[in-house]
Amino acid sequence: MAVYNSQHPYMFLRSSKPRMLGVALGLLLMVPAALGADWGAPARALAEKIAAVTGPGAVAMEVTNRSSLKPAQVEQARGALVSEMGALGVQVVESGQAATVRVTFSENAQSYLWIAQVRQGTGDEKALMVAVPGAPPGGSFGPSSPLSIHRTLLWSQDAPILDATLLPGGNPEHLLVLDPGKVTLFSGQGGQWRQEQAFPIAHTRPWPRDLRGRIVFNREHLFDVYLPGVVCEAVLSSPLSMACHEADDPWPLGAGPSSVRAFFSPARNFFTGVVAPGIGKQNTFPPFYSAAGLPRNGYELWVLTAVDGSVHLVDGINDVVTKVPWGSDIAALKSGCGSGWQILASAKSGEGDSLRAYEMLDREPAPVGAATDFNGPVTALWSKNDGTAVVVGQNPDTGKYEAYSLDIGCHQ
Amino acid sequence: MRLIVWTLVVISSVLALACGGAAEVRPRYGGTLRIMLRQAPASLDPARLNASEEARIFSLIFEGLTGYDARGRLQAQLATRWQADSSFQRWQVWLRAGVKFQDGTPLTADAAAASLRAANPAWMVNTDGESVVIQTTAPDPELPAELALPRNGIVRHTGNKTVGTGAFLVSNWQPGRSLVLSANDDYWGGRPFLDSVAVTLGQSWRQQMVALELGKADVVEVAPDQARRAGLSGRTVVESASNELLALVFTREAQSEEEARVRQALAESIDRSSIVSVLLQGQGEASETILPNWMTGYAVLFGPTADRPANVQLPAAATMTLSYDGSDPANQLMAERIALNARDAGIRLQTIGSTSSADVRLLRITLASPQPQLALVSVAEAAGLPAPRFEGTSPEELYTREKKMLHSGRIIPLAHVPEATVLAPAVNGWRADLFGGYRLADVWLGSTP
Repeated sequence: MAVYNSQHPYMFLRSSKPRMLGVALGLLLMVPAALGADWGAPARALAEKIAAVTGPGAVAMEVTNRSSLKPAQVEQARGALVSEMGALGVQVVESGQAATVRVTFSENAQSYLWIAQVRQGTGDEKALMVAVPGAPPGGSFGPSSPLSIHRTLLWSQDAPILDATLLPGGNPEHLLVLDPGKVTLFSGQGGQWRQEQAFPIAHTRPWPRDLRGRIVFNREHLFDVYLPGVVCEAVLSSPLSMACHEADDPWPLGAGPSSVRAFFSPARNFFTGVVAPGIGKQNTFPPFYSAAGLPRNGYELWVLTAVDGSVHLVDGINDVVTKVPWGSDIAALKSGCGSGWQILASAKSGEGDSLRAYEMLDREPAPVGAATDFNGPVTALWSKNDGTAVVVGQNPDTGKYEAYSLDIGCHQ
Repeated sequence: MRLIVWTLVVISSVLALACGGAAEVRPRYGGTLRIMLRQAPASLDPARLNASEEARIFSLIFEGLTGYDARGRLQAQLATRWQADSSFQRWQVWLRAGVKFQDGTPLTADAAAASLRAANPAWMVNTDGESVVIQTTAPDPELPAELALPRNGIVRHTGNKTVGTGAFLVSNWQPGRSLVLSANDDYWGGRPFLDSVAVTLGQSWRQQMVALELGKADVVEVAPDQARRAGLSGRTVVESASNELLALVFTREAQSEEEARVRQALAESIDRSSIVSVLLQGQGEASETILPNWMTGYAVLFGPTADRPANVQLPAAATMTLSYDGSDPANQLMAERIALNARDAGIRLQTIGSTSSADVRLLRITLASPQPQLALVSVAEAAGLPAPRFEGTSPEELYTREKKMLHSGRIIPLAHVPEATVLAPAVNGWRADLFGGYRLADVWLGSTP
């Protein structure tokens, strides 16, 4: 039977030692070849083909690497092959034997390809091959910036992640991940996130391109989900469920459900500019992609990134328009250092995007600390109610979407 | 990233980066993207597709049950899953729900079956609920990949109109001259960012570059030998994997042992490295295989690409005619270089700058699929050679079939060359595609720096 199935996601658990765990799990899950465990099957398959040609006995073997395998991996693969050949009675010895086996570790766009060219005496050379699916997808995002922004990998999957949220409190920890088709609830068990439930999102119209959505924690019924033209809310039943309906309800702009809300265009990727209940006396702005609120003495300063590329600083009375080299996505982060809150803004950085923290001094953004680079695009950035933020990036090497929790370290 | 040569390249100069290196912004909706192409299709029916390059446009309008992602991996498109029986002769393919043709008609299993039946008379195509059942007369392990071929795009004929399910719909069509596409607001994958795409057809490489320079085009094709220059001059150049085969193709079988020896001598006389490094300005890879190594991984079995002295004893005064498409100046240079190499090996090649009959033709063959078995078949069809038949998907069988084609003496591979596209600065969201496809649903227009 030949059956098409989608790939399973792999996962990471938030940890107090995020980078170490992330690197360790990354090595474990993304480069399984490095551990040698996965070479058994292809080594056995190629050894069987070689043995079928040579029969038991001694052969001379040389190995060439024409793939992206690292030398250590090549050595492991070679060792696995020699071992499997030995089990079939084919002993690899020094040259000078009647049979020679030239092994080439190669690869194509879809898989590794192990090739054995077998020659016995003066006979014709036979070419034997084994395709080894699952070539390593390459590295993850680069190492975290040594500066002020800290990130912790929450979850990674093939489907686009629109938002992810750690539910406050609770033991074990719970994580919600929003993608275009569902909300998935995970619980932290045994060092990994394990799926507890998945709540499909019902909608009748196709989603707009560059789909955006967010999860907002709700003290009464756990969480709400906002998508273009669709609102969902958790239903505290047993088991937990979720109800969705088509609605243009305004989305919360800030971290909590009671903050300023704005209407999102149901067929586009931006907020329409209409805000409810309003920021002070102001309730209409140009269409914008993203907004972040910074608590100030007696008021809240809102920063909006408009579709036309301008940045609006809104305090309830004034709307100051400025040009800042920011991207479309911003979020507010509570750090406790400096003025207590910073703006996190995306920007282009080489082939990928970056995030940088800014203080709003005299209503002018001033960068604090260096940018944290991602080697792919940042696709979502949302403030969270615990003062952190969640960023989603796409890893260009694997194509997977990776959600990170962000916080700012004051000591840097 | 792997070492294989298909790595997609986006060449942009320091200047381009400096100008375009402003903050990353979310995609903007709206605008018209202006594209120029050399191809000039006379029909918009996928079943009448003439060249693989035309698939770029067809894929915007029509979609298959399966397709390829930007990395050349087969994926579900209008299907969600598929399954074969143990003989690989009966395939059941389940359709994606909620898909509509561009005229608003829902995509049903009956509609998909009718479309596939028309494109593949040899298949027996029926429906089973919301699935399509395809039965073939021989085992067809690569059927899911075949469903991704442009000719298998799902179409619906209404009167004299042909509609698909793609991200864009036809709003104006001047056969062979121009095509205007509009965004499909109800596209199941989400409305494209662009409002429309205006395609000018039948434009030479030179005409396209002039239009780009004058700001009259946003996306143009560039000749392989000009791609590097375009990148150095500050343009953003996007290259596919090397998916075009340059080859000499003999019009008939060798009629004698002597003629076979002459062909072998000709194959060994050609300085492929010089053709690539000098005539193609380093764009591409010299090759003695029909399929590129990025596709198979086994090119090493055919020996290194090396310039070998002719060591075959030739009959006196071996003479042949070589034809090439004279509309591309690079073809003439290559033909003359080949003739020069041949002369050194004692073979007289008379070059003819037309597609008229000759003993051997210099061809540029665009591989039809990232799937190697189908790509090999496409080369055979384009070159007029017997098409290989596959019983399985093993690399050994692929290698055996390719070796057989090479040993037929009908084809002499020279190089594999990428397709290059130049983008105007306002073009954003362009995704480099392994096979040079245009994935315009994600493209958007920003302000020109």
